[in-house]
Amino acid sequence: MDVDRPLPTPITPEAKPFWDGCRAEKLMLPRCEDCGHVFFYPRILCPRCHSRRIGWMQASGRGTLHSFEIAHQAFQKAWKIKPPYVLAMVQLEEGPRMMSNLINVEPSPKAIKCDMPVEVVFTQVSDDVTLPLFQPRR
Amino acid sequence: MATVSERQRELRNVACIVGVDESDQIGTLPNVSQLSLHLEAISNAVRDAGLKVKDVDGIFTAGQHSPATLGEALGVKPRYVDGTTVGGCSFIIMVGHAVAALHHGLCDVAVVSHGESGRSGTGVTRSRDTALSGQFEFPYGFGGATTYFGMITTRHMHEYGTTLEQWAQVAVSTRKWAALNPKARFHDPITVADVLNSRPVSYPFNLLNICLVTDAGGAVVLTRADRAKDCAKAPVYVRGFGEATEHVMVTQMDSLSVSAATRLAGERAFSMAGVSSKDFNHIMLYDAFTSGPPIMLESLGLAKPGEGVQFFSEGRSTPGGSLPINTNGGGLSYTHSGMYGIFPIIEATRQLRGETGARQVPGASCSLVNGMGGMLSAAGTLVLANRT
Repeated sequence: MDVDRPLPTPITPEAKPFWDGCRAEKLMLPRCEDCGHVFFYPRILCPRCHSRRIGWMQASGRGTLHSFEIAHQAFQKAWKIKPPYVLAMVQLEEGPRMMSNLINVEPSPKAIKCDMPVEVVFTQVSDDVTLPLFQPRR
Repeated sequence: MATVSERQRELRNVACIVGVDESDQIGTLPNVSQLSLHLEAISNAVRDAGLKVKDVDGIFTAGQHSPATLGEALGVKPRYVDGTTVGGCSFIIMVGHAVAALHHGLCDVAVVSHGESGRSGTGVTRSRDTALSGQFEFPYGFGGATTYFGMITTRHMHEYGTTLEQWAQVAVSTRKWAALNPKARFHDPITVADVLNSRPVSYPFNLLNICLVTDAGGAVVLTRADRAKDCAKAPVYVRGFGEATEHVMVTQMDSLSVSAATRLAGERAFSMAGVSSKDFNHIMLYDAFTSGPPIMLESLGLAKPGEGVQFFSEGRSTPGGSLPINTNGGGLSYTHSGMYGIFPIIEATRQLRGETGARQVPGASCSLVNGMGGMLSAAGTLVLANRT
C-alpha cells in the first residue's frame, strides 16, 4: 500500500509490544507491576518508583484532547497528507499522554477544543504498521 | 522553592564576563562555514576582552562541533572542556559551569562559543537523535520546534484565556527593540494585525510568531574577578546561575503551561544571587516563539500564571518601558541561528557595560538572562550585574 507519512522508526525492543498491539487494534500501555503507574512511552524502568518490573495493560482507547495544532504545511519530507491536518496531544483515561492526529473533524479552532473527549481509531498506514489515531468521541 | 547550597552561594561574583561578540557578520552567510562562525566569534570576543586566543585554556561549546574541534581549529590545547548539549540554553548553562571551573582553578580564561549555519547549512553535517521522536512523534507529522511549542501554547490559551492578539504583542514589542539594533535582521515596525495576517504555519502560530532562521556565531569570555580587573572593559559579574532539565518530549511535561525546568533554574539562580524578581532592570528571555517569554516570566515567578503577556501588552517591555525585555530584538527580529542562547548573554553584557547606543537601558545594573533548551525541556538562568 502507498505510505503517506513517516513510519515509526527505529522501533525499539522495549516498545515492540506497543506496536504489536496497534497491529492487533489494541492500545497497549506499559504499567509498573510494583506501584501500578501507567506510563508512555515504553521504557524498562518505572519513571515514578524506578522498579524494573514492567508489565502491559490494554487501554480503553478513550481520552481527552490535551492540546492541538492545526498544521498548514508539512513538517516532514515523508508527510504526503494534504494540509490542513490536526496534530494532537491526547490525555489517555489511564493517565499518560501521547502524540497522535485528530481525524474526522473540521480542522478549525472553532470545532476543536482542548479537553474534548476523543477515542482511538486504529489506522493501517503500511503493510506492517497500524497507528493509533483519534477522533472526537461519538 | 529550590534553593542552592552554601557552597554554590560562595561562587557568587567570583568570576566575570570580560569579553563578548558575534561573528564578523550575522544573517544569511552561505560563504561562511559553521566552524568559521565559531572562530570569528571567539577571536572577536577575546579581543573585546583585551586578551589573546592563546590565553584561552577552557573551551565550552554545544551543538555539532565538540570543544576538541574548536581547540584544534584555534591551535590551543585546553585544560578544561565542556560539551554539554541540552538545546539552545546550553551556552547559558555553560556560563555557570565556567564559573565553577574558574573558581577551582581548572582553567583561567574560559570561552563559551556558538556557531551555527542554521540558514545556509554551510559546513554542516546534519545528524540528530531521533530514537524516540522517530517512533512516537514523526509518524503523526510532528517535526521541528513549531509543532511542539504550539502544543504548549494552545494549552496555555485554554487554561488562562491568553489570546492570539496577546502573543502578537510580544512580536511587536521585540521588533521595536530590533529597530534600534543595527545588527538586527528586521528594523521595520510591525503591528498586531501584521502578525495575525502573516502566513499561517501551524495554529496557533503564524509566521511572525516564529523566530528567524539565520547563520550566526557568538562567544562569551570569562575569567576570575581578580584577573578581570586587567581586562579591556568593565567586568560583568556572574552573581547567580541555575540550571535544570525536565523532559525532551512535551508529552512528558508535568504541566504544559508552566515550565518546571525554568522554574527550578530560576529559583536556583535567584537563591545563589540573593535577589528577588523585583531586583532586575533588564531582562533577556529566549524567544523562539512569541509565547515563550510570557510563559518564562510566569515560570520564573515574575508574573502570575496567565499574566506574563501583560508585560508586553502594557508597554513595560518596550523601549522607554519600566522593564525592558529582549533589547537586542530577540530571536524574533535580531537573529536566531538555531541555538540562540549565547546572544542574550552578549546583549545583557553590553547593556550592563552601557555600550548599546540607541537601545541602551538607562541605569541597567542587574540583568536576568533566561533561556530554554528544546521545548522548555532544559533551562538556564543567569543573574548578571555590573557591580558586586
